[in-house]
Amino acid sequence: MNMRKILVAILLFVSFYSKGISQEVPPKPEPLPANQFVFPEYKTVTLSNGLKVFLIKDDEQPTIMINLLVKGGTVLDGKKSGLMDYMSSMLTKGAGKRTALEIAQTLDGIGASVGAGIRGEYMEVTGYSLKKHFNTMFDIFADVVLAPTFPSDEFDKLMDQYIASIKQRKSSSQTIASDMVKAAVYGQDHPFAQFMTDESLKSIKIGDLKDSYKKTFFPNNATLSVTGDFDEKEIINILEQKFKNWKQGTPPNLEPPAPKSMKRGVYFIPRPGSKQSSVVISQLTIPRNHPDYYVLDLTGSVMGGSFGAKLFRTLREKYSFTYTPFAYHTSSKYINRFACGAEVKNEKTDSSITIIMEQLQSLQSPDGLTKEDLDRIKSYKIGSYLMSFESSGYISDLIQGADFYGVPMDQIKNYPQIIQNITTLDISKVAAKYLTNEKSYIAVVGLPSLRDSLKKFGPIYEYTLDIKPVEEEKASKKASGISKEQVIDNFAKAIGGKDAIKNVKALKIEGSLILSAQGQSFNGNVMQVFEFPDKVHTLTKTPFFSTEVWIDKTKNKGWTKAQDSTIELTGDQLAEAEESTKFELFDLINILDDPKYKVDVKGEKEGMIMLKVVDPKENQQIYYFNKTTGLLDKIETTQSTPQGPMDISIEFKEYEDFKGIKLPLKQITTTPMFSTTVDANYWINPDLSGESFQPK
Amino acid sequence: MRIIKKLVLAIAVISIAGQVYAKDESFKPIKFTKETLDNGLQVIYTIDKSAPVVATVVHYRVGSRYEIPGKTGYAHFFEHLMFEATNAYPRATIDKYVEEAGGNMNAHTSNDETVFYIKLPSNQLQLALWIESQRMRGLHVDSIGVETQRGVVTEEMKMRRENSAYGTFFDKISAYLFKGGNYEWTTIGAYDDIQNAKISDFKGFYDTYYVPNNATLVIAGDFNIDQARQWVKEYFGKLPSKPIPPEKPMTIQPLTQTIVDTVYDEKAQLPALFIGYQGTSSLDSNYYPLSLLTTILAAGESSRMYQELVDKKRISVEAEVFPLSMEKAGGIVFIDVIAPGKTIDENIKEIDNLIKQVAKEGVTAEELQKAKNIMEASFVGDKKNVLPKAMSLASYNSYYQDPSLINTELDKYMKVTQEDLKRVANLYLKTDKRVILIYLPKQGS
Repeated sequence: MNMRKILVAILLFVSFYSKGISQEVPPKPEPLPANQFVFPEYKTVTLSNGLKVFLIKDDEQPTIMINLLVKGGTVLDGKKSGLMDYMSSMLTKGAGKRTALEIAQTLDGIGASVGAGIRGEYMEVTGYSLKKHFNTMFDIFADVVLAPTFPSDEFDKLMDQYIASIKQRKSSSQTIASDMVKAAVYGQDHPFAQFMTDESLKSIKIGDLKDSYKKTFFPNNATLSVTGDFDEKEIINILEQKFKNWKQGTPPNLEPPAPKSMKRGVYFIPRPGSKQSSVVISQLTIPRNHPDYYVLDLTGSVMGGSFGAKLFRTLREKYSFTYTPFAYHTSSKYINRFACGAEVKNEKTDSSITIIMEQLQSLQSPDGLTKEDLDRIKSYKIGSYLMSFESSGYISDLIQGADFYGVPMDQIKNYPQIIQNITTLDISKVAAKYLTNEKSYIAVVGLPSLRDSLKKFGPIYEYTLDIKPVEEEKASKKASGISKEQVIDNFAKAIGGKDAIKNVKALKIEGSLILSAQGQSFNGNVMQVFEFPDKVHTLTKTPFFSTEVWIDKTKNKGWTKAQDSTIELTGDQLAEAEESTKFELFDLINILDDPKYKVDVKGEKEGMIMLKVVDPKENQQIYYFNKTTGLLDKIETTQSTPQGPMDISIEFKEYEDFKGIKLPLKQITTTPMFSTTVDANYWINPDLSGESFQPK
Repeated sequence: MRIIKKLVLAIAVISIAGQVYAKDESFKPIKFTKETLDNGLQVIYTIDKSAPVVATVVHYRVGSRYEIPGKTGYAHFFEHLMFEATNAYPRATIDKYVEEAGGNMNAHTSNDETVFYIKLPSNQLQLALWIESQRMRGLHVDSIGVETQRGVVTEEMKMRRENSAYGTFFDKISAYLFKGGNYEWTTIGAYDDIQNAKISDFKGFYDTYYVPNNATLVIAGDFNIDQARQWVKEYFGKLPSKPIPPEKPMTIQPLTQTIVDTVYDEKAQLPALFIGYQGTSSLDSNYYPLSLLTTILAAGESSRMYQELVDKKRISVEAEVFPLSMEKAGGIVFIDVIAPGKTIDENIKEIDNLIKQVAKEGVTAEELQKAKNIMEASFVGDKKNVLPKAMSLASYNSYYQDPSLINTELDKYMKVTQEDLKRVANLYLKTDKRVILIYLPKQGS
């Protein structure tokens, strides 16, 4: 009896327990067969002025979108890199009788928009509104296309924005690496390798914008698409009416010159303070209408398009060298390239390159890619393509794009099938043809100390952050034939002599300050009092904030005050602040006496002798001493910030005599985010009786 | 003859009126079907065959307001944990499944809701339903998943609060505007609460709120409704329901004076003002006039604040309104980034002037029309594309128990009069009862 009861209990328990934990778990479902995808209907009409118009009806909601595609992009910049971009951005900043503000407010008030911009090889003007407000929106759209005014005040405003935006360029190692590899693959002077610089932007004048507008904006150099809920006859009428006086012109030649690739090798840009290396490997391929195009497109996805891609599986999942590998094939009309790479841990830079090259190599054999893996990538690619059709803009993009690239619409419509038909053999063939070691250009932006580890990948060509060959830089810097001792000696003499400086026990500096950031400037004051070698009191005042710092090393104390609250500094913060008891210009004369600093003469440039100084923390600074006067003209340094390395330059101007010591009346500091100008006055050995070097 | 003429005229008028209406309609209504399963799961189907895409949205009625002090941040934590292992699949797989299918997925948490979505090519709907049903009642709340996500969430906390300028404004303004109520703390929660939470705490939270009777499932896009119904029944039908604990009414302390608080911020380049007023919940009838009022005051380049402060007087570089209406209460926050060289005081003065002016004189008919136009144009925004549609239907169902509001809510805005705006300006924008947060750049090196 007992046994039975126990057995029953056990059985009950087991069945209850198993029901509890293993509810029937349904298996992962398989997809239904993919829909026989039907590309939406559309109609093509040519207006009497020669403008080709695509009409795509979509009456799901009462909205209308119009898009003008104008042929011609950055390839028409010439030496003024940024010109076409600038011109297209200016179109909505004043058109017809309306100012930029009037345009914005009118559109704002009806929930509509008109935008213009550049898309690499062509420009677009896009308008969107509810159907009921179409006429108002279209009025503005037509003005933007036919009668932009390029007002000079808007031109100036925009210039400030462009100049500010390119400053950001230097803060992105990825962008710099990409610019480098483009120069290597296309040739430094090729239009595809150009990028906006301060110089190129400043060379752009309003006349240039008007010229480039006239050279491109005419009906036989553009196409227009209308998507949404419209009446066909009505729309054609309105378009004919509004654009009837738009005259035809001679379409510009958009074909770029043949690429002049540089020598094959590793293009290395040393960047002190880098937290990671940016690596890009790229190869020249084919024009858009080449039969290998789609296979290369898919190969980009195979290498780095999604979680299942080769670089994700290796660099990311297996080795954890990076979170963000990438790979792609470009889609330009005339010249394309394949590219792959990642931001990788400093010490894993060479290993990462090895892995990327291995993966590219593996593609070249048909066994390097399983059918299963390829199927997964195809599923992702075709799925994404289908998903894009949700956006009505996507359809007009495809149609106008096909027209621009000279690709038959059949190919566009059959894209899913074309991708589906590609085999692992096809991929191995293009990999063997275009993506070999011999065809690959490697670009790396990273710590200077990495240079040697990259030698195994090929000859090293070193470049600067501005993509200028270091060889060239070196040539302009003659060996100066002067020793560092002489440089420092000359400097000490120039600012008054070592003895005179030794006799400076205290120094007071008072100055006015102008801080410029994002196109705005405002004024302030600075005051600094030193009692050498241990004490300093600094006060910086601007209309909306002021900070004060006191350091007294004899008491090992320091304080900082911001607005109304004073805090005592301790630990690392105090140690760091204590550095500021030194006055840099005086300290410099003793720099050779401190073994912790590595000093070398680097060369000569533009009448200045360059001294490279590396501090105990491995930070590097370049001091520029005027060859004629011996005075310090400039310091260039790279500061490590949480966002990455930031380049700072400090210029010293207008040295004047103060009781036998020469000091600069002007100090200009420039960083990517802001710049400051200080106009200062100095007092040597002033009366310090009122100064306590501590907060009251 | 006369009668016939009159008739002809009448017919002409009617048909013209009909045409005018058809021409001036601002959106086409969304059709949908709503059903409720035995276990309380509410399911809404809406078909849209314009693109080969389908989206599922699962909207859980749980957010930070359902937490208790000492145990905050749980809803947000679960937003992350729901991507971990379930009975049907191991961890770090659902991202891959969805991506390989060509789709994408994500989620968000707020004070009142946690919402998950999956968007896929239309032949993959079953995958989405399988995933959502599994994680509704089959999620593994175990140490691997919990510890991994604990790390991720604390990183996110740091990033949001410490890494961006003015990063703490939302925490602070919530604490002031909703003192006494569960909106006092923000979704991301307190660092310590997340660190101290035990697995049993998390499991309790999951079993209380992640139940079918506390959720709305929406399926939108290109799919076959019968097939979808079958899958819904198969995957969700057997999930057990559980009654939700009753919720205490929220009692927020009304502001009785102006509170000023100053914060020093290392990341800020310019000083900024955040002025908060107590407002209405999104369910209150005054929500509509108040929305239009704040649009006129501070939304976009046409707004009064932008025109006066940014454009004309140039004392501000950015002037915006941050609407903050939730299910149980709300607030209005004006944001003003001070122009270099200008002062906080002059900005506060100007903003107060604008508010006093609108309280005294109201708005112009033109301004009201513009604000209504903007609302109307945006109303069509959630009616194209599967995801906005699904999100809206889920929201309307959850908060109003009426998904048809997707087609009718606009009427409530259109009915607002100039009088309404003046009235709510006086009722809510009291310049002697608000919070002023001042953010000042902290100069370090």
